[in-house]
Amino acid sequence: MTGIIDYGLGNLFSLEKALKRNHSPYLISSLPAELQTCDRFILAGVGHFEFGVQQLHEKNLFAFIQQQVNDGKFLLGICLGMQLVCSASEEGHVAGLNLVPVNVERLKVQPPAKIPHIGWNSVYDSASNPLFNGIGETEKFYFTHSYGVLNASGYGAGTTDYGNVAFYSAIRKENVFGVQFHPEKSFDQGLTVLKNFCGL
Amino acid sequence: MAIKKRIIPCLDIKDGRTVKGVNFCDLRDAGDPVELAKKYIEEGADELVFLDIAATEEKRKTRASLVRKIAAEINIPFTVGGGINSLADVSAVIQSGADKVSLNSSAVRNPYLISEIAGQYGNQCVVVAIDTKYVNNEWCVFVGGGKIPTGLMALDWAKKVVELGAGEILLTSMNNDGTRSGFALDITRQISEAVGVPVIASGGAGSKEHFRDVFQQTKASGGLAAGIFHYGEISIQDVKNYLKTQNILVR
Repeated sequence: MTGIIDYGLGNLFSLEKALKRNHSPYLISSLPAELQTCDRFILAGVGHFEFGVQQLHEKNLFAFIQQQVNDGKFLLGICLGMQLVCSASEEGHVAGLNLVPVNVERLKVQPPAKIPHIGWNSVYDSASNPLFNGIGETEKFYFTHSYGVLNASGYGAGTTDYGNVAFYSAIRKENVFGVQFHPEKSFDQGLTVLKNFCGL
Repeated sequence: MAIKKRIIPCLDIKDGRTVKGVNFCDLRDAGDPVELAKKYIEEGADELVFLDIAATEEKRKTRASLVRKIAAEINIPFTVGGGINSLADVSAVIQSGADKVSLNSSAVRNPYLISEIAGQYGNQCVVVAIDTKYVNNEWCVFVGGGKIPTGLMALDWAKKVVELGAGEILLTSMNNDGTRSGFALDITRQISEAVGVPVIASGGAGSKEHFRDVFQQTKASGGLAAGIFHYGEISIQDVKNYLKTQNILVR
């Protein structure tokens, strides 16, 4: 059972629909007592890093997520969720979950590239990432973000080029995965990423 | 490989139906929005924009239930606009499955709303739609479905909304809207060169060449159209196949 962590910032409806399409069992909750029955979790979200961290603390989910990961359960962070599993972000003055010890920085692109990075783009160097099983490098994924992981200290699990910048569009440390794009908004190839995660 | 230019069908919604007008008037029925949304995804749409055009006019809130119905059928990104006046409205449409909100009249009335939404949901969540009309040699901003002049100039307002936290600008030329005469290249060029966020060109698309022109002659990140796609005159796939032959990157 996959637990979709509801901390008040996600577009959880789309994620829910995606898991439904994949026939992956899930539950959505903001309550640690309910979520702890799950064997894996998805932390999605649209929003501001600092606000996201505050919400996790407010709903008593911050320490809960850290504990569940320490217990060996799988976690997938999507978009802001991927950033929240990192140590810190330039977007706020609060500590992240620190499950993957890397920092999130603002994408510093030169014109004509625009920020936010919004649209469909490729993911490379993902061959060793089990979430990309069965997905060719010509497939595109939907991104919408202004911040990203520029130095992955060995935890990179997929890269994307945008303008003059290359960033890590996927990271992994043991049982913790992160993707910067939105699999739930990335057509069939996005559903495959979610299916792969739910099948780990 | 760089990011791809986006082709974005827009569904203008009134009373639960898709409608399309000319120069913002003379609305015609263009079909069931859910069916249209599904068709566009199959054809390769990169995103959908859903504007509840009656919402502002009649002071109604965006219909969360319709948003939910559309979102249930689609697995590509989705922007919702029309009657978004508060953080509570934003929360309602995001929870219903939208990825971004589009502000228009409410941003002019209360520019701080842009910053408020960006602060909570991130810049990438806030699209500011600018409806502009060429009047006395100037591109002026109109609100209220194009009925109310604001005294703002489009270029100044575009820079201002980006400063306030808008992550994207949806620029519609009222002069071109529904005319099939092509996008307003001059104002699209000016704004897309002046701001650091993506600009989506809207209003006037009548052929695949119009998309080529806007991508070759301006820095627009996407092209939005409604009428030509709704009535099946040209498919999104036709446009994309053509753009590929013109060396314009598309998905």
